[in-house]
Amino acid sequence: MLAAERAIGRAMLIELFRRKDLYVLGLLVLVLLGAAASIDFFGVEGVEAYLRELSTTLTLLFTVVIAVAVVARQIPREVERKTLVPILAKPLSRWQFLFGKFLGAVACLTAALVVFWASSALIEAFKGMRLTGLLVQGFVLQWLGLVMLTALALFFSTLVSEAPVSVTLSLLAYFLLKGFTSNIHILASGATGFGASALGLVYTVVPHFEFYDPTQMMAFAPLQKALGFLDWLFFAGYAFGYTAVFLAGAWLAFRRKRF
Amino acid sequence: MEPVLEIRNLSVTYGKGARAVKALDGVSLELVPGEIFGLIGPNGAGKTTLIKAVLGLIEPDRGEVRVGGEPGGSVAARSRLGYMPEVAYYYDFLRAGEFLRLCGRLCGMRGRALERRITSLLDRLGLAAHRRKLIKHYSKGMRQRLGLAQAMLHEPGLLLLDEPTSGLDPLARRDVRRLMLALRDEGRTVLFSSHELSEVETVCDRVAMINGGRLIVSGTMEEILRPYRSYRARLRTAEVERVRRACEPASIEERIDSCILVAKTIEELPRLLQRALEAGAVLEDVDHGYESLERLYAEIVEGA
Repeated sequence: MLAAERAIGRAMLIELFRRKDLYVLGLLVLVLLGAAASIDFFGVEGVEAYLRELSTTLTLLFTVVIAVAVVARQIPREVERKTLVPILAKPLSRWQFLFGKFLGAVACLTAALVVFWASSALIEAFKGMRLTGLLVQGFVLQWLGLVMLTALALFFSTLVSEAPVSVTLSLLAYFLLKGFTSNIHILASGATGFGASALGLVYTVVPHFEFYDPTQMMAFAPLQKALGFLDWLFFAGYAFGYTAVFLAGAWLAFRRKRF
Repeated sequence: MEPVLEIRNLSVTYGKGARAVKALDGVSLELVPGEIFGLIGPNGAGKTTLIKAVLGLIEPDRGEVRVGGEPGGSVAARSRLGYMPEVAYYYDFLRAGEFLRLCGRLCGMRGRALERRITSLLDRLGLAAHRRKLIKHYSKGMRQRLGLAQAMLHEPGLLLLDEPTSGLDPLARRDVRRLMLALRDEGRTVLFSSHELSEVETVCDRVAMINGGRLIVSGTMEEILRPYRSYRARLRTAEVERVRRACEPASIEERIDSCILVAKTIEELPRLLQRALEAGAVLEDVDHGYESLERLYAEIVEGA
């Protein structure tokens, strides 16, 4: 099943490995370990929360940068290197090609996320902190957000022909959406009439990447409670729904493109 | 005979409005099984655009393409053809074996059958010893051969080769020509574009010439060059001008201590020869044949 898509995804992973792009991951892990190791535990109240916040924030930042750097460059780079034409001349649809790229990117980012979260867990264990099921919850939540981001970056990758532009647009879109969408809700609550309705609509329609930031959940004890089944159903459905929307957008932009 | 490739009234435009450039303008062609079809024309004539439109990489403004009865650009159509691009850019971070495995999987091949096919193709194209080498370490000739391998991998009935001998040394060119002939003998159809007119003359059963996006002429070499048939007599003479005057208006090509008298028909040859001999020339040799495709090409391109 999905043999062509898996083949495209596998080629993408081999490229990341052989071009040494993933070596950046190792460097970032060292940064994460170094930052955490530098924190002094003795006699400091609340340092556990700080450590968790730091490692989760760094993990989120690093994986977002890796995701965008890897995915947003995919199509422009293939066009620039002229490697796209011989592949698209094969009997596979453009959707299969895009979905293969998406699968390869998700596999790569899952691996990166595992490495980061495993490193965080190691640090916590080393510092004598108790490892809880929240680690798994945080991991899954962040993974869902990354899947969404991967589809968004792939969309920009099909939309523009310059890799740096695609990377910039993806990063801008992610950080703007993550930073400001929650504020729309606050603005809406202060507005009246049409303004309130319009802001409410915008709040409902725009993708909420901040849902998938586990920093608060991981760091602060009062909020450290497991998400219920319905919560997971919502978060997973929301992430996969937007992923489908972004992938459909990518396909619409890519399907009739001339090469 | 059912055509392998049908192109009807194909038009492609690049850009819009004032910047619009017509890359193809109402081109129609039909290729039958087991023939080598040459596509010739100057740079920018529309050869690559035509091939890309057949592949579905460029959607035409109007017209129709059918590959073995399937709509051009569809997955079913692409499964019936193999394509080798003009410039051999492949995933150079892969080894040749890995790249062919990827191509095979994209063509729906798998398992031992795929591995056997890869091995036999690499053997046939002289790349077996380089199977585990990264493509980025391949020479241009090796990349061209790898390009042929990936195009032939799924044994398609139609091969589209865009300038397959471009940048190759004479021996490698000869190998590619032999391969095309072998493919034709296997019953496959080869459509190839080239600037090398001698190559086209040597291997093609039929030729089409396009210029400015329009099909100028197409047919067998005999059909195309019939108006250019000529009879050539080599005459030894120290007085070429005297012979030229005697034979006017026939064409005389000057050589060192000799000249070539060109007669358009066999009927006018004896009369012209008689006049040349009377002007003091000595007959050395008579040859008959066609003007080369190069002359036709030059006339069409320069006259356009």
